[in-house]
Amino acid sequence: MSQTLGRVLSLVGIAFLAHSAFSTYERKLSPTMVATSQYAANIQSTDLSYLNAVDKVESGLPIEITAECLMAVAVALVGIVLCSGDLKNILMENEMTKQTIDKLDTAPSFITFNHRGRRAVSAHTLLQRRSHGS
Amino acid sequence: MSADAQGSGSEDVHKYVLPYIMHNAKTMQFARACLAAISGSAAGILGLKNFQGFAFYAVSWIFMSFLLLAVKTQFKPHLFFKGGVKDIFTEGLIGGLLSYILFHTFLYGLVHLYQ
Repeated sequence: MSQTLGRVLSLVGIAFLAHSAFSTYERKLSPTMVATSQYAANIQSTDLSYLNAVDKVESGLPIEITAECLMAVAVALVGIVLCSGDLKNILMENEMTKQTIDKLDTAPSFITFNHRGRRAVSAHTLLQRRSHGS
Repeated sequence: MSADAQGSGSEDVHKYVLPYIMHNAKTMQFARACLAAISGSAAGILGLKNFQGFAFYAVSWIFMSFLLLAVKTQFKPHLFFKGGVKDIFTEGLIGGLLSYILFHTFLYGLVHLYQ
């Protein structure tokens, strides 16, 4: 149950992360940013992608994109914590309480082959044969 | 008995269940690998640089470790890890940082550089 929820949450988080990546990629420089930028004169004359590559454009992300990105990270991390499997208790004493004495203290020398089981089985088959016969 | 020449190695065999230790380590490794990928991508998208990026890694690491501590171990880490809280907060910190830088570089290049 919580694993499915975790998977859904992490998928949603990754989808929102991808959306924020796409909107960061697609965003255009707003006119006010260009006008107030100290490289305003360059921007008209030079290619925008070149300016981006040499970091001459102030890349102020809108608060919406930043918030979306951070929320997406938080949601995805919660989802991953939920969908990764349960931890197991490593203490030996805890493990020992689940075992039975037959499982733990078994040895070949305790096995008995010469017991009443054989007679019981033969008596049982005898009775069965008799009841079928009559 | 394991061939480790460590003094505490033979005691651990009787004190802890070794397959479960491995299982827990694998679970934590999965969670941390995902953390590195996701927070690295986010840092790349946000365009963090220099110490901002490391600070973001530290913040997300602490957030994730706290989540693991709260959700996975119900604040009883000594039941699941030999080192207790220290194991949750410090194990795999550097390895995660390398994956984080890898994803940061990838997403930063994809989103900010090549337009």
